[in-house]
Amino acid sequence: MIFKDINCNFFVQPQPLQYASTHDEVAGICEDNNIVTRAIYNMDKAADANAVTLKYAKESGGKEYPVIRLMPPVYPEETYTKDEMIKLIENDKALFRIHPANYAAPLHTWVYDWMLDILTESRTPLLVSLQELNLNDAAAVKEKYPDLRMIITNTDQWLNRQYVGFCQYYKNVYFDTCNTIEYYGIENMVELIGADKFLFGTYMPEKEPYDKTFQILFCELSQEEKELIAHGNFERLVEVRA
Amino acid sequence: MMTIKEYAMNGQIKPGLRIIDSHAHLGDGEQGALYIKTLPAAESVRLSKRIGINAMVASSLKALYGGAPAGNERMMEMTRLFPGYVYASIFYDPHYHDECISQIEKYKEDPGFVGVKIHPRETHTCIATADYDRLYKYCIDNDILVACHTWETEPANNPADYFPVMDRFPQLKLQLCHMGGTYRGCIDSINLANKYKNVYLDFNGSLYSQIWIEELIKEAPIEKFVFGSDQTFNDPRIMVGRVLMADFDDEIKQKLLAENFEKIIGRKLV
Repeated sequence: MIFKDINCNFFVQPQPLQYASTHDEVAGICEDNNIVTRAIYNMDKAADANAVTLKYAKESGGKEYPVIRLMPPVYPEETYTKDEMIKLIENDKALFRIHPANYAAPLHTWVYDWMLDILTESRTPLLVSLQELNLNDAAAVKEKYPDLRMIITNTDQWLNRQYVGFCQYYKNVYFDTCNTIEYYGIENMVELIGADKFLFGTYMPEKEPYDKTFQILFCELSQEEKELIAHGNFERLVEVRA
Repeated sequence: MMTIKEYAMNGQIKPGLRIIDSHAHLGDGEQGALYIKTLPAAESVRLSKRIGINAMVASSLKALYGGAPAGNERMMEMTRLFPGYVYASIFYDPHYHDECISQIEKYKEDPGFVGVKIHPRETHTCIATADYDRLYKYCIDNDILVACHTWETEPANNPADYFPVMDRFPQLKLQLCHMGGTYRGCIDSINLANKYKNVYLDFNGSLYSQIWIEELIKEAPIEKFVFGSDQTFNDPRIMVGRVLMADFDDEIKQKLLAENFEKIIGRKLV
């Protein structure tokens, strides 16, 4: 089975006790584990972090899609114009990740403003970690932008019924698998939200990919459900953007 | 010859591979404080067998949540329901000292008995106190392994608190479950294992530490590491996959998955 990773990160410098942490190391681990395509994100905080991500994605021959750290228009020195954002989507097939907590950019419609229109109209996924997300804020955005494709990564070790309810209530909300380690977690989550809303994600290099691939290979779902999680949803949401 | 990883990537477990889950929890559907799917023990055994686990050493969920004497009896019944597959780690709650020691004494020669489990957080008894000393003395005298839940951010069971304990009881055979969970907890656990000859590292909690398993096993002698899944809280496929798919030799994987634990307890389970 092949895998496509929605939550594949890297650092510019090697990290202590991480077997793979730089871009090339992570890419090597992906190749060894049948992770054939990935959405890559630079975890460094340097000003050129997005430029480095774009460079690697361009050089990957279509294996990597850049995930751009998106600062809202209220931070004009650190963000993109409308034209720049549209070019990133059209030319680079970029995705975007926001950091409501870590970069003090909370998910409010007035904060992200026209960016939410562009993301919605272009069907471009917006990634955000559950660890940084205020669900009340997210709900307000989904009320105004029901078609916005929101991929909530780094969910929870345990089945937190509040965020599961959020995904059930609003359409176009998706989760990744990286923190699903609970007993029968994969099967439980599919029963609750459906296989079409669940994407394979590793959160390398902060986590290893091994448990995530094995979990899908040995889970007790239909082959069709496994394929959706492993790569089918990535293809629909990131590659085709149907 | 195909490797363990190559088999796993094809959805198979390599024939002849031995896996002993040294850290499991079994019950009859008890609902803990956490929202987990609880299943009959037979279902847990079925899933474990399907992913290549050949034996599991489990403690009782009922015992963990305040019913130690009754839970331990039920756990021993499970060893008879699944002979040669389910083994018991008798749960010791300091609040039930006499009852728990009596049960350990009663079952210590039973083939289903493997060791003792303690959980300082759930029993509200900090490892930094002397409240487990009576147990440690008993276990040293009877050569019994003590498996302790550890988590660096939980005040009751920070692994760093074991340094003075091990100074008092250097002969104690101690399995540090979860290796303290966090990065700091893992480093403290590694330091304990490197300082005291009978301290062993149950590496399932290192999943949360940002330390990859390939690097982790370089930090202490390989014989110090033991495999545990923490099922039926965590999915056993997480830890099995973590070892089977990792980037090191099959010989090391086999040590981690079964041989080290059997050497520590001095008997073959599989």
